[in-house]
Amino acid sequence: MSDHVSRWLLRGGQILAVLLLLAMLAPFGYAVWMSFAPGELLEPPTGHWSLRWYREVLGSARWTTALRTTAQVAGMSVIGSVAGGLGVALAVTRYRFRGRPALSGAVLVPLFVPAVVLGMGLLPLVRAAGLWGTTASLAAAHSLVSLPVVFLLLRSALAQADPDLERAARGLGAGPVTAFRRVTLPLVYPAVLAGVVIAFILSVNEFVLAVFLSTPRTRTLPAALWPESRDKETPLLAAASCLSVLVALAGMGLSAWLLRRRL
Amino acid sequence: MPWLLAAPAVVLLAGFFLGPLLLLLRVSLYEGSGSGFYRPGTWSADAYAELVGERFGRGIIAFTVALGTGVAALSVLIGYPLALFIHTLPRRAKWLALAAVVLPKLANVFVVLYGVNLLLGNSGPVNRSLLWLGLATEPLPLTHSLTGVLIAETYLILPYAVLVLVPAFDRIDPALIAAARGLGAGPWAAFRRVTLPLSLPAVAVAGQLCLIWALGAFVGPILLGGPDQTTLAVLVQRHGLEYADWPRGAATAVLSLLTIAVCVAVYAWPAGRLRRAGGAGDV
Repeated sequence: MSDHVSRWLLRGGQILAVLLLLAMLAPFGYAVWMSFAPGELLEPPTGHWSLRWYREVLGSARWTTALRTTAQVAGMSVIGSVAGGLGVALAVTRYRFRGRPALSGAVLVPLFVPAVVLGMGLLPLVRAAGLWGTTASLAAAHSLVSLPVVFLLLRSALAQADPDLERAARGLGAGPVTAFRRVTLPLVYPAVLAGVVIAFILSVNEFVLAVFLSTPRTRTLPAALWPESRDKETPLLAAASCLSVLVALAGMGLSAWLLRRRL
Repeated sequence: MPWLLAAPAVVLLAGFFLGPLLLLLRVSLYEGSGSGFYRPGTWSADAYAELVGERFGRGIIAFTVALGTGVAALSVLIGYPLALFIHTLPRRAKWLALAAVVLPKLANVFVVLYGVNLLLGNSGPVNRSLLWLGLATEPLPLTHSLTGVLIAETYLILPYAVLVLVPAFDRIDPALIAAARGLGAGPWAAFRRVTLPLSLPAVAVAGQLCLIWALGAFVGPILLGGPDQTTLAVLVQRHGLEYADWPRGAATAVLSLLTIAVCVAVYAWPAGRLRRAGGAGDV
């Protein structure tokens, strides 16, 4: 192959790659555009933009309740997965004990089980345990989804934080809790915050487990959108989805702000 | 002390992961019941017999495996050159490109697949431009079809392949490529003899992750597929939630896990070859 031809091939490949990246953003962009449509039809607005569908979503109790449930479930699931992930990450990076590799492995297994399978198993369990129709059951299920990710993040952060600093604090008379709070936690604070954001976003967007476990009173936004997406074809779905992205972005913004204030 | 720290996660995993999976096994062996979810105290393997024994069930298993393999292959084949391209970008552009890959993952899967649906629909921009360009005489059936499901699922899984492959390319020592070029290799030969073999272990990992996730395909088939694109995951939801037939739902879920386990075991063979071809260990 001559150098000339291969240069053209390379340029062509680069253009294709950029087009592919744009194509990956297109569905999201198109849905956002569609959410400002003025009419009932699925026609993206060209001249006349309107907030009609946003008003409709925010004006009906069905959707505002769903938004509130979504935020509540996400908040609770963050507590579960960060407490769980941080605990295991500390245990496997700071202690040597029997069953350590097995524990690391076990925490990752939920990544590889399809949500539908887990949902099908949780359905009878949650009913039998008397947790049916509670936001806690949804939050616990969502914690499982984010637990492996939060654990991986915190394990790598803790592995990079020098354990000698903790030992120094202990040697200077700090108890284990104080040493953690004053030395280790500040060192891994950005990773903890990243874990919080990721767990929050995963929960806000999770919909398979939500469909399995939600009752009419405890519907998260994706679960409430689910029947809508199959029956009705109006821009309402686009507007409601964009609002849930806003909830996720608000969570990210809040954490970024906290991080900046802290540093 | 370490177990005390691990306690919250262990409780969560035991109660909400191991517990449900064990319960799934038990529920799958109940007799179905017309009125309730199942008939308590009974034992029966009917649900399994139906799935594996009848043409309908076997067809769904076969489709799930075919779709999972196809989507995983597409994700790695498209993800590889895309990741290579992102790897070569300067720092800022690289972050932007990675953000473009990850951004759809921050939005809920509805909004993105809804967008895909709108774009590919009969009156969507893709079909309209094809008609306008005269490349088609009538709108192509891009939604409610196999094409739609393939596009949607690849769109959902591809980012994972890219996220595994970009760091793998970043880890390859640029001095090795410079050395190959210095010894007279053209850019193509340098890629084929240096970059490609060194990246094969990561390709094996990316393929495995994509395969596992693609075998659980659910949203794509439901939102962009028709009746012919029913996967095991879709069937679990239909039996378990829509018909409230828990034994069938649970048996389908157990079969879905078994399917994944078998596919991963079979995949271990080509993956091992890829790893050896990559000369893992002698670099």
